[in-house]
Amino acid sequence: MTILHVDMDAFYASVEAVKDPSLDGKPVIVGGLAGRGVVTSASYEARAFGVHSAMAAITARRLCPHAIFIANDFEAYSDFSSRIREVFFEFTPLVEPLSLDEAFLDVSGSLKLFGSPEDIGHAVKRRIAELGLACTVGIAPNKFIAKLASARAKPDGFLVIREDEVTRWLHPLPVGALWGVGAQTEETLRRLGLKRVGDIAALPRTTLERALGHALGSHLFELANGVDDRLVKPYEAPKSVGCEETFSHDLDHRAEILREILRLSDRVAGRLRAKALCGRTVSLKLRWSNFKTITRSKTLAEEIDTAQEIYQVAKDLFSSLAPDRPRIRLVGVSLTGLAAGPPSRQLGLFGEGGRARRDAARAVDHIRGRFGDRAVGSATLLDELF
Amino acid sequence: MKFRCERDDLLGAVQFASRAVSNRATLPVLSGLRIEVAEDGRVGVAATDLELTMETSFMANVGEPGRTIVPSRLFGEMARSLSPGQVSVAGAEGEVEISSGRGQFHVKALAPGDYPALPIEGPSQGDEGALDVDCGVLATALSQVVRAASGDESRQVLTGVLWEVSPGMLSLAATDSYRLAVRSLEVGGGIGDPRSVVLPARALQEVGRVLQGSSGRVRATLRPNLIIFSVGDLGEKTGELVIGSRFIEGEFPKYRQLIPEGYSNVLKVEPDRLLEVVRRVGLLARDQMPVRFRLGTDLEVSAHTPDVGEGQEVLEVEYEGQELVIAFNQQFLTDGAAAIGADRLMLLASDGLKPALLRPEGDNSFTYLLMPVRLN
Repeated sequence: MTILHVDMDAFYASVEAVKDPSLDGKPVIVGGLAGRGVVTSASYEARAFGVHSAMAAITARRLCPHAIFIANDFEAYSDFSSRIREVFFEFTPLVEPLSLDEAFLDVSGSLKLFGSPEDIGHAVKRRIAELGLACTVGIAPNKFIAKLASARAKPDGFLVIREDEVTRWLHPLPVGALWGVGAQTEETLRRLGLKRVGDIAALPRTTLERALGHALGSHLFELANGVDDRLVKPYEAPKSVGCEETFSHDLDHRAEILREILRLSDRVAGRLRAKALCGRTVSLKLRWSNFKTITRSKTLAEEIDTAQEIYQVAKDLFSSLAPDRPRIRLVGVSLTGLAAGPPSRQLGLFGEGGRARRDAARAVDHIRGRFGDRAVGSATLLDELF
Repeated sequence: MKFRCERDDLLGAVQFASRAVSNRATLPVLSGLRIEVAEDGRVGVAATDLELTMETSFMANVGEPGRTIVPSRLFGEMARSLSPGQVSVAGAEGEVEISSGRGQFHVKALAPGDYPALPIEGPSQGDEGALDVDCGVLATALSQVVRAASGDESRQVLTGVLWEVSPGMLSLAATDSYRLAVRSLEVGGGIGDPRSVVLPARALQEVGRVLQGSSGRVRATLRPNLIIFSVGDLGEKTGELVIGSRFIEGEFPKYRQLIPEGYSNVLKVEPDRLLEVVRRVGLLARDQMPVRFRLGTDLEVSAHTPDVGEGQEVLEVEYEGQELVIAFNQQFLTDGAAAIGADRLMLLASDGLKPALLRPEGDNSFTYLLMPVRLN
C-alpha cells in the first residue's frame, strides 16, 4: 500500500492570505475576535511568538500584540477545502478527509498512471500551490506512518518513509508519537521505562498487553512495529443528523418537554439544511429520570428538512408514548434515511406542498447566518432567546 | 322459505351482492346477505353497508316464499364449493339448510327482523329522473376519472367523484389534490334541474366492474340522497344488477378555475410509446423519486434514486415551445397517460412548477391536470 497524508499548513490563515495578499508574510491570527474566543489558526509568523490554534484569544493577543486578527470565514475555508479535495480526486478516488485541511489518499492503484509515490506527492503539492496554499505531504506504507511523517515534516514539507525504512525511522521517536498515547499512557509507559517507540517494539506483545490491558497493549505493539491495517475510507455521507440534550433538572411538564422537542427539531433542521440534506425517518429518544431510555421512529413518505415538519412527527411520537407522569432527563431528535436536499416535493393543486414553509426556512437560515442563531426563532422558544 | 336452483345462478348472485358487505360492518346483521324468495319464482340477493347497496336476482323453482339473512362469507364459500348442478336452499327456525347431491349443510341464520330496509328501497316519489348511458361509454369514463380520486379518508369529499348532471350532459371529476381528472360525456334520459352530487369512488369501482362485462345501457336514477344504477333486464332469467350509493356530503373543490388556459408549450406523442419509456426509466425512480422530463423536440425522460441508480431515455416527439424541465410522480403520470384513450396525447406545460395538462389530441372531452414535483 502507498498512502499519502496531506496536511495543509496554517490552513485558515493561509486562505486569508490568498483572499488578501497584503497579509502574506505577516503574523495572522484567525478567530478570537470576540472577547472569549479562541484562535482557530495562526500563520507561521504568528506561531513564532508561541501562538497556536485553540489558544484563548486573550493569550494570543498578549503574546503577539502586533498580529493581524481576522474573523473566521468558514465559507471560504470550506470552499478552498473542496477545491483541494478536487485536486486529490485527480490522483485517486480513495480520499479520506479527516477535516477541512487534511486527508489520506490511497494511491496504490495510481502508480501506473502517475508515476512513483514521490512523483504523485510532488504533483499534489504543486497543484495545491497553484491555489496559493502550502501543504505538507507524508508518504508511507500505511496511514499511521504517513500521518506521522507529515507531522514531522511541517511546514511545507515532504517526507517519504519506505517500507524497509519504517522501523529504522520510527523506533527512535518518543512514545508520545504513537497514535493513542496521551499524557496518561505516556506516564504509564515512562514508569515501565519505555521512552522510545523502539523500546515498545522490543517487548513481547503479551507483556505489553498485561501492562496496558489487552486492547491498548496490542494496539501499541502493532503501531510500534509500524503495522497499521486501517484502509483509506472514502468520504461517506452521514447516516443520521441529530441532536440531544440532557437537562440540568428533570422535565416533568408536557409543555416543557414539547418545547425542548421543538428546540431540538429546529436545531436538527438547521443542521440538515446546512449540510444540504433531508431525511424521511424521524426518531425521538427519551430518557427517564431512572435512566430507562426509549427510542421511537416514524418513516414518512417524503423527505423533510424543516423544523415544523420534524416537530410534527416528533410530537406525534411523543404523544404516542403518552407518558402520564413524565420525568425526563434527556430528549433527542434525529433524522435518518438521508438524501441530498432540499427534498423534491409533490406540489398540490390547492396550493399545498409547503412552498411557503420552505421559503420561510431558507429566510431563517439567512438571518441566522448573518445575525446569529438567536436572531430569529419560534415564538414558543422566546423566553430563552432573551 | 324454500327454493331449488342451478348452483351457478346462486353463486353469481351471491358473489355480486357480497361485494357490498363491509368488513367493518356497524351492525352485526350487515355482515349477512339478504335472500328474498318471491312467489313468482324470483330469488333476490342483496347486501348493504348502508352507504353502498348491491342487489340482484335470478329465477328458481320456488317451494315457499320468504326471506332469510345468511352470513355472507360462509354462504359464499359454500356456494362456490358445491359441485355444479341443482342446489336446494330451505330456511327454518333460525338456520338455513343447503343441500346438493348427497351433501347437507345447516348454517345458522342471522335475525331477519334486525335487517334494515335497503336504502334503495325507499319511496321513489323523490326520483329526479334518470340518466341513460351506453355501458361501454360509462365504463370508459369511470376508468378515466375514478383513479384520480383520493384514498385519504381525512378529506372525505376527495374520496368521491363529482357528477355534474345537466340535460343531455354528464361531467365527471375527481381529484386527490395532486391531480385532477375530468371527463364529459353525452347522456340520454332526462332529469329536471342540473345537479351536482359526489359519489364514493368505491361504489363507482363496483359500477365500473359491472359495466366492463355488460353491453346495452345502464340507467342511473337520481334520488334526493342517493343514486341507483341498474344494468340488465328484470325479465331475464338472471335479473338486473342494481348498485345503489349514497352521496358524499361536502363541497367538492371548484376545479374549473384550476385548469389553466393558453399553454405555450405543447408536446404530442403516442401514449403507448410514452408509457413504455416512462415505465422503463421509472424502474429507477423509487422511494417516491420523480420522473424527470426535459421537453424539447426530443423528449428526454430520466430518473435517479440515490443508492439505487439512474436511467434516461430519449423519445422522439412533436414539440412546440421552449425547452423546459418538469418532473412528475411516476404513478400519477402513468395513470394520466394510460387514461387518454386516443392515438396521440398532448402534454401541455408552462413551467416546472405549474400544473401540466394531458389531453387526447383534438378532443376536449377528457382533461388530466397534474401538478409537478418540485426538484431539489
